[in-house]
Amino acid sequence: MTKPIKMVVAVGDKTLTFNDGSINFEAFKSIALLLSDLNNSGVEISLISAGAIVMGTQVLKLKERAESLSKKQAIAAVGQVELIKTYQDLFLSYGQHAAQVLLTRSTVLKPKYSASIRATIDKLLSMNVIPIINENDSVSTDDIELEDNYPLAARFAKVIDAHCILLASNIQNRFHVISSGNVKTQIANTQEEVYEILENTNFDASCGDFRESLHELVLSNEPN
Amino acid sequence: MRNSLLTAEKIVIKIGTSSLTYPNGKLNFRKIKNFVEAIMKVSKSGKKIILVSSGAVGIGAGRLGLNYKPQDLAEKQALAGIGQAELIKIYRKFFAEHNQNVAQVLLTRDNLSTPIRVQNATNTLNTLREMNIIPIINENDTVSTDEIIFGDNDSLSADVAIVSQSDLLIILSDIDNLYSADPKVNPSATALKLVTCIDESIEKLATGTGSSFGTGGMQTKITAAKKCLDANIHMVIARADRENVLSDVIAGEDVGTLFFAKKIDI
Repeated sequence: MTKPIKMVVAVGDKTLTFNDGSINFEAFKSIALLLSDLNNSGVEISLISAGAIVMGTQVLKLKERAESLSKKQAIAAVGQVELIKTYQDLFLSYGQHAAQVLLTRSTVLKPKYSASIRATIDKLLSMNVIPIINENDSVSTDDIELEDNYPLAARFAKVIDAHCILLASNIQNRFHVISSGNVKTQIANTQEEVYEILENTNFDASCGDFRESLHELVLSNEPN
Repeated sequence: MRNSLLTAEKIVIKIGTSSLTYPNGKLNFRKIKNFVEAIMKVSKSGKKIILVSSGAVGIGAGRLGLNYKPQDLAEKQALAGIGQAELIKIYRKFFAEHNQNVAQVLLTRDNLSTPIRVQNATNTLNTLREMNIIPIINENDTVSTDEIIFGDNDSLSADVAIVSQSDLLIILSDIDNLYSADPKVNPSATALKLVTCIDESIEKLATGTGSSFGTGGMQTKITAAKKCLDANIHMVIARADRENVLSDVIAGEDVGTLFFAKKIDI
């Protein structure tokens, strides 16, 4: 038997919200269903999800986006509770357990932490639990300032030796499958095509640096 | 001296795992609900509350129905990731019944190791308090391994009290007082109601010889008390399941052991 595909799924704010900034619960549902099903098929999934600030903004019924950093951090701390609850409930409706893992980007690559993170994630995957990863916003401020989690996704994928990153675009059900090694980034225009790509690609997990391909993608303005 | 507690406005409350779960690790909803109600009572009287709640590993094990105690570190960390999600969800629910918003803040010792990170944590906690949101803090077990190794986060709760510039730390557990000796072994052990200075004689109580008394919780509490007193913060340890424990401590009643900080008035 071949080793299962280890996949990091990165979901940004734009996928989870409508243009007016309100939350698109259908998008959450669709992601939970897709990932639970992929997990059942034997793909090992880690989900990196944004959305803490938009969730917090909704819970607190704030009319406008916070400006100050400490306010953003406070809102993110409220929103993370809501975000993890939403995912947990949705995953559980498909019988899928999920866990919360909060990371700071600056520590992900430090050997002291990366070994421990790797061990925790491998353990969760072996227990058939989907780790839901986010930036630990209340202490680190990297992502709040950059407002996307792709750099975290790239670093995380490297730490766990993932075969590929599935990047959700802001177009519903459109995904980029970014492989480690020399396989070119592939685009799936439907969820069905995600399955096809995973089936037909020979993934190589031995050279897991995703930063360049992710960087190119972000520069080409594609996921946005 | 107990009267000094009446003026405490910013209060950190730390509760241990066993106070919130059944022996099998599953959540004791009744206890959590009562605890949340007790906090709301205090909060409505105008006090600003920060909650430090441990126990994610046990809850994760309970959630998955494990019938053994997790041993290796990676497994404990994995269970912490599952358990923390569960713990914060149930707090969210019970606090929402009182129309109270909560926030989750996960810290590692490293987070509090550089001035800029301390400033970040201080800013976040102060902003949450200003917004009338109750922060619920735990160790970020999935990445840092310190607390899992030490077994509890009494020490973290003292750090939180310091970083959040609070007036009082209340540590609730299954221990009602600091004793002159291990009451399980020595029937003549007496409860110490007031400690004003952590000297050698007190530290000796914490490291007591041979029994679980020394290592099973009191040591971390003495360490926490030392940090608090050094920072001019009062600390009280008391039994979590004593009736009205929170409101009585805050009302200055003679509950548990008070570690009294000799505040220097300016």
